[in-house]
Amino acid sequence: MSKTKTHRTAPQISLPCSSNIAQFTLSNGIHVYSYENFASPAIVISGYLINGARDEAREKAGLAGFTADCLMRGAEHYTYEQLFEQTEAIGANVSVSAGVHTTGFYAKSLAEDMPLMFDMLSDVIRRPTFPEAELEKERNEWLTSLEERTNSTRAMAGMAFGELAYPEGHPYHYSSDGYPETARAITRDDVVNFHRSHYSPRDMVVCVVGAIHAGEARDRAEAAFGDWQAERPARVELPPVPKINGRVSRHIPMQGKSQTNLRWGFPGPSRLEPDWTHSVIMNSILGQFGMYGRLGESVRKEEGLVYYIGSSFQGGPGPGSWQVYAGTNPQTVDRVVDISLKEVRRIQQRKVTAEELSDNQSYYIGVLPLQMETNEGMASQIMNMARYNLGFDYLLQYPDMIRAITVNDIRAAAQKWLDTENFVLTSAGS
Amino acid sequence: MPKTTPTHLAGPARKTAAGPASRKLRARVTRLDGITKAVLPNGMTLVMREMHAAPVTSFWVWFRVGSRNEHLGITGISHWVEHMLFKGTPSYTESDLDRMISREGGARNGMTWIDWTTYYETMPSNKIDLALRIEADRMANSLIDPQEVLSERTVIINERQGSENSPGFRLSEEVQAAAFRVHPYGHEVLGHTCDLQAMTRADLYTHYRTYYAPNNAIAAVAGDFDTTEMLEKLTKLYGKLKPVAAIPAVNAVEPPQRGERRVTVKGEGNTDYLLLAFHAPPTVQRNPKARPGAPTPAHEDFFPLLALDSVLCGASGLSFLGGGSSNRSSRLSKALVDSGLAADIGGGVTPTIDPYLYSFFATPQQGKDINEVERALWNELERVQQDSVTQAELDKAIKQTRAQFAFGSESVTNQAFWLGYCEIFADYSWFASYLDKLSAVSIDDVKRVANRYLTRDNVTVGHYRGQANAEQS
Repeated sequence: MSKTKTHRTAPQISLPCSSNIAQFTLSNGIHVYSYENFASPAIVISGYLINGARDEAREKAGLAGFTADCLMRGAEHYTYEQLFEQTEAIGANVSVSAGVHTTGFYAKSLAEDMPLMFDMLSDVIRRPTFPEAELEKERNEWLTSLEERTNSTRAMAGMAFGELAYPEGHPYHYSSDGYPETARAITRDDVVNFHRSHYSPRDMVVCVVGAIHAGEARDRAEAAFGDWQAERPARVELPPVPKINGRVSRHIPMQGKSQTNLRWGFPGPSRLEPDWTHSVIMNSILGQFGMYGRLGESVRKEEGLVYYIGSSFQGGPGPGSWQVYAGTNPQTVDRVVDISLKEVRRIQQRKVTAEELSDNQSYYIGVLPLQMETNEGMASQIMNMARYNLGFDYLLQYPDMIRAITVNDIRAAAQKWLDTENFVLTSAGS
Repeated sequence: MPKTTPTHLAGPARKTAAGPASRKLRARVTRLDGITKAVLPNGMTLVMREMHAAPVTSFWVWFRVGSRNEHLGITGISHWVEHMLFKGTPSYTESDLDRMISREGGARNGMTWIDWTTYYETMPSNKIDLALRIEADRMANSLIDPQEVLSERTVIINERQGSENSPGFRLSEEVQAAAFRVHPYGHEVLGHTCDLQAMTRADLYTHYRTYYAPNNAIAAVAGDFDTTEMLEKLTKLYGKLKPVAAIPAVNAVEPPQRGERRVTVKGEGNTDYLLLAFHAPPTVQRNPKARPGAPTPAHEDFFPLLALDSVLCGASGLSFLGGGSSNRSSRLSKALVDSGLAADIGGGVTPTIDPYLYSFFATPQQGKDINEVERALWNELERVQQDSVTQAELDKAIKQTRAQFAFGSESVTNQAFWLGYCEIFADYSWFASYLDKLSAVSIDDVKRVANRYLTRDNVTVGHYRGQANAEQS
């Protein structure tokens, strides 16, 4: 070590905000956001289109997902083989996948390969050819994964939860991965029509993070997507979700399983609710902080009943679920449910301590630099701000928002969103 | 090849108060490619890499103990001890440990594998001292409280039961057991249920006292810090820990396999799974006469196997968190997935202390015969044995690896992981020279290792038969 060496220090974390996120709108309305990060010679292109499982007919469950998966099966300028041969030859990754509300796309590569990434994304999203033979291969892989799902306690308990917590006709009632019967019934025409009618630049977002200047990101995005013209139908509003009445439970017997997976809960707040951050901190105290919050303390540490337990808010644009989830021995399912119900009652009835609140506030503020460590992390934060109209200075305001939360806010959120009398309980296992 | 420059700069001792105690703590320091390594007089290894892209630092402590150091009766003990190190010391309770790290925005965890047990914290850089103190404390002062042992027993058994729900775990456990009849690599890291039910607090405490010592430990740190200051802090905290007299050696040597082994696991579900495991060479060539601290050369066959694996199964992600690129253009994916026989394929060869396994797995598509899938896999292995790979395929493997290195360098957690991990089976220069070694692999090298290791006499074949399929056959 040289005595003359000076200590290089990292700049204080440069949070993505309105002054360093370059924002562009292409001629067809696509929103492009770019954040320069030259710490490594890599880039990430991430974004989404407004289509997903909520736009598919119920008898075609899985169509949005299958359509997205089939995009990589061939396009006008790249066959399936060329897509994977060329991306894998340079260690890059290109993928498209559909969720309930949006279809997301992603590319990661060395910065020098970014033009190819844009070219491929543009081709597969705008000009897929859906070759019949390739579709059948994709369908067979899909059917195998659905068959594997029937042997997963986690997946089966999760699917049952959606079916009981949300009414028929609501998109959250169904698996966005579809079912064997819908997977067999969906035709190539269905796929072509879904793409033709729902893939559109309207409200599309493209986010570029990494070792690239913002101007170049904009130019590449413009070249890839700027001349794309396509409409999509206006979205149907999500149907209302009735309150759960009493304890609604279902057990899925699965032979030969050593552990039972359980979850209980109900529809929770959307990401757009004004008390979202209160709910997040409340949930953290209950089932996340440290080693799974209060639930971890009582069910794992004190009783040794589980290896994992926690609670989560799904959020999203609609009333995503709030759930307690755990894996436990089949003999101890009831005890785990009872103790977790007791913990939920406690957080509803008694204020959390000032220390608990302070610890959790400190965690949510302190963890921001860790979430920004990679290009993916940055892109995820930027897209989150864009998707929920939080404003690009959200992260700058975030520490003050978190610090302003009081113990009364926590109790109010628990009383408003949690319910120990009316809930869905599902389990899968022996 | 980068050059290693040994020096004897006194890091911390020179900067802190002079005197006999300080001199005792002087470390043997070497530097290479921006990485500094120091060995404290008590035998503890420190590896440091400054990275100033973000105000984040990741700190890991590794112990050379895993399921490799276990025998029947105490299988799973290393993993259980890892759990117990989260349970507190006289200075910090379990809740203190959780709370102190989390409230500073830190991420932490512990992991156990066949060769090692490791603990890490990734934190805002100005808070990393907390992690340094906590790890030094629990290395020497963990209570392993009898009451906590009692409640953790069911947690551990629950963890194992959760894994047993997966057909992949059940198959892999059986294949591993069949592949090794002498070496302790043959049992699962989680241990046998009967051992988990029978082990005592005394067993756990003895294991802890035997292996948790500075002369069996490595501290690896990457991120936004000053190396001189970090070395000083680490020396002060860890230099005073007492070494143990001797770490029990693992003398087991797996005898050469002299014929194919086969296992079948029947279970729930309608999906079959195929697993082929070949005995692989050790990662490095050990030389008992080498001076302590001398760089450890890679085994001549190891990098050719890595290159072969890239061609057959796709590029390995160089992140401990997984990832990597897709593998659709790999030979096995083309032969098995594109042909409609399998839904997915994969494989991998892993750096280990003793010779381990090079494995391939495939999930037959619904309605496809697992034997047909296995035949197709063998066809590909035989093809590479006869014709090797092409230079274009090798070039592709190198470019893929270069990209994975760039992606992996974004995360200080990943960097610190590799620094420590390499010290377990070789030394930190192994990772630094990874690309050079891969680039040196020739077509003939690949053919040689394919013929040497991917043979019928060297394989354990595992079939998981889903209930419905098993009944039909």
